Amino acid sequence: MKCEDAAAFVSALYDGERIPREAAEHLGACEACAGRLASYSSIGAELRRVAILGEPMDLNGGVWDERQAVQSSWWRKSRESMRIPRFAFASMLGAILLLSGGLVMVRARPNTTGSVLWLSIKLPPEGKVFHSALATGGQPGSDGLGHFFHVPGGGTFSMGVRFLHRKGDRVELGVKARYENPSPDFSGPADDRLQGITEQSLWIEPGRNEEVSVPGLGSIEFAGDFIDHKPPSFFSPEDTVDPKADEFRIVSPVLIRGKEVVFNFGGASSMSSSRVSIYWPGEGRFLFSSAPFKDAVRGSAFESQITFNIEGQEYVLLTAVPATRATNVWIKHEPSYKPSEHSAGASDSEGMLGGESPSDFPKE
Amino acid sequence: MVEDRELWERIRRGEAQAFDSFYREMGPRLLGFLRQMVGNRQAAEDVMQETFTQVWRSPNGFAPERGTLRTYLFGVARKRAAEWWRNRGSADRGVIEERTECKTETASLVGDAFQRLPEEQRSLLWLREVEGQSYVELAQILEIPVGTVRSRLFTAREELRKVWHSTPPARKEGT
Repeated sequence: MKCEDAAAFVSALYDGERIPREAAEHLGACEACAGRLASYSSIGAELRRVAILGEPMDLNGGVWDERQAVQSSWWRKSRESMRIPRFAFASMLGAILLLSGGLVMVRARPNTTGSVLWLSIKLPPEGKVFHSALATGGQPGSDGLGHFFHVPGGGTFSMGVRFLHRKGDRVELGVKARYENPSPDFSGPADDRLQGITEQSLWIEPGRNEEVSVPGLGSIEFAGDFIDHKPPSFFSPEDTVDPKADEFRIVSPVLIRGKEVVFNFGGASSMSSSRVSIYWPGEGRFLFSSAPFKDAVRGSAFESQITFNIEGQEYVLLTAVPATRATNVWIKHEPSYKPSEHSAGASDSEGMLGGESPSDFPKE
Repeated sequence: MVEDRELWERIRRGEAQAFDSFYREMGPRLLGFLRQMVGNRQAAEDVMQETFTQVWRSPNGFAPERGTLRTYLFGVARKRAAEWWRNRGSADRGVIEERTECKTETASLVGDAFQRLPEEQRSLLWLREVEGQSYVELAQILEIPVGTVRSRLFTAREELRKVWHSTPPARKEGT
C-alpha cells in the first residue's frame, strides 16, 4: 500500500477506528504516515485547548416552566379551531396578503409544469402535517393562506404564508409565524397577531424540506410540490370529490329559503365530522347530521344539495362538493342561538361553520 | 443509555429540575460547539437557548433506541445553527466571518483555519476532537453515512494539517 492510499486510514486509526490489516502494516513502517498521525494528534490537542479557553465560566439557569403533558391531537384541535372563527380567519387571510416585510424561501421539483404549489407543513410539537395550495402564476402577494392553532401544551400559533415569486421550479414564499402563550383574545382583529412580525423569505423546491423557526415553539417544516390545479377543498387538497363513509362535507355553503338567499358562506368549509353546524348572524344556528337526533326534521341529500322543510318553509342548502353518502339527513334550526352565550370570546356578528360536539345532537 | 432513558422520562413528565440539570451539564459544551458554528457568542447563546427550548417543548423528539440524549441535543443544535445561517442571509454572513477573523487571546492559527472550513467539516471535527463523539454518533448528528464521516474527517484534518505545517514552531506553541 502507498502513502496516498493509506492516508485516509491514518485519520481513522487516530480516532480509534479499526482499519484494514494492509493499511496497519504500512502505517507501522512508514515515517511519513507516522508524521501525519502526530500532526493529527497535535491539531486535536490545539482544538481542545481552544475549546477550554472559550468555555463560559458559568451558565445562567434556564427558565423551564412546567410543561403540561401532550394529551390530545394537535391536528384535531387545529382543525376544530380553524373551522369556528371563519370570519376571523378570513380577515386574517386578507390582512396577511397585505402584509409586507422580510422574506423566507421554498423549492419545487424540476421539470414540473403545474402552476399550483401544494404545500405540506409539519407543525411542532407533535409533527402533524397539514396541506394547502397556493397559486404561483400571479403577482407577488396574489395568493396566500393564514392559520391559527391552539397548541396542546398551551398558547396559540399563528401563521401567514403568501406567494412572492417563482423562478423555474423554485417558489419564494413570504412567511410570518408567531407563537403566543398565553393565547391572545380571539375576539380582536385577526391580523393583530401577526402585526410587527418580520416576514421571512422561504424558497421552496420539490424534494427538499425547509424549516422556519418560531421562537418559543420550535421549527415548522415546509415541503412543496407542483400540481396542475388548485383543489376545491381548502383543508384537504388530496381528497377526492366522493365523501368518506360517515363524513359530512360542507364547502362554501349557500342556504336558500323559498326564493331568498339566507346566507352565502363562500370560503368556509367543514369536513370529516359526521355532524355540522352553521351559525349566521340574525338567523341563528342550523344543525345537520346524517343520523336522527332530538327535535330534528328529516331532509333529503342528493349530490351537493340538501333539501328540507322547517316550519312550513322550504330550504335548499347548496355546497361545493357532495355532502354525504347518506340519502336522508336530519336538520334542526335554533333561531335564537348566539355563540357568545356558549363560548367565551365568541362573536355573534360573524358566521361560523364547524363540526359540533355530540352533546348538540342528543338522541331522540 | 439507562441514565439517558431515566433522565428523558423525567423530562418528558415535565420535571423542570431534571431539565435544568441537563441544561447546566450540557449547556457550556453546546455553547462552545455553537460558537464555532455561528461565529459569535451572542448568536451562539441565542441558538443554544432555542435548542434547549425545542428539546424541552418537544418531549417526543428524542428516541432512546436511536442514540444518546447528547447526540440528539447536538443534532438539534446543528440544525438550529444551519437555520440561523439561512435566516441571516449572505450579507450578514460576511460581517460575522470578518469578526471571527479578529485575533483574540484564545485564538490560534489552527483555530482560525478551523473557522474557514465548511460548516459540516467544522461540526465533524469539533464534535470528534472536543466532544469525543463516535463515528456512529457523528453519522446520527449529521445524518450522513459512517463512511462519509470517516472521509470528511480526513479531509478536514488534511486542511488543518497544511496550516499546521506552514506555521513556525513558536506560533504553534501560542507564544
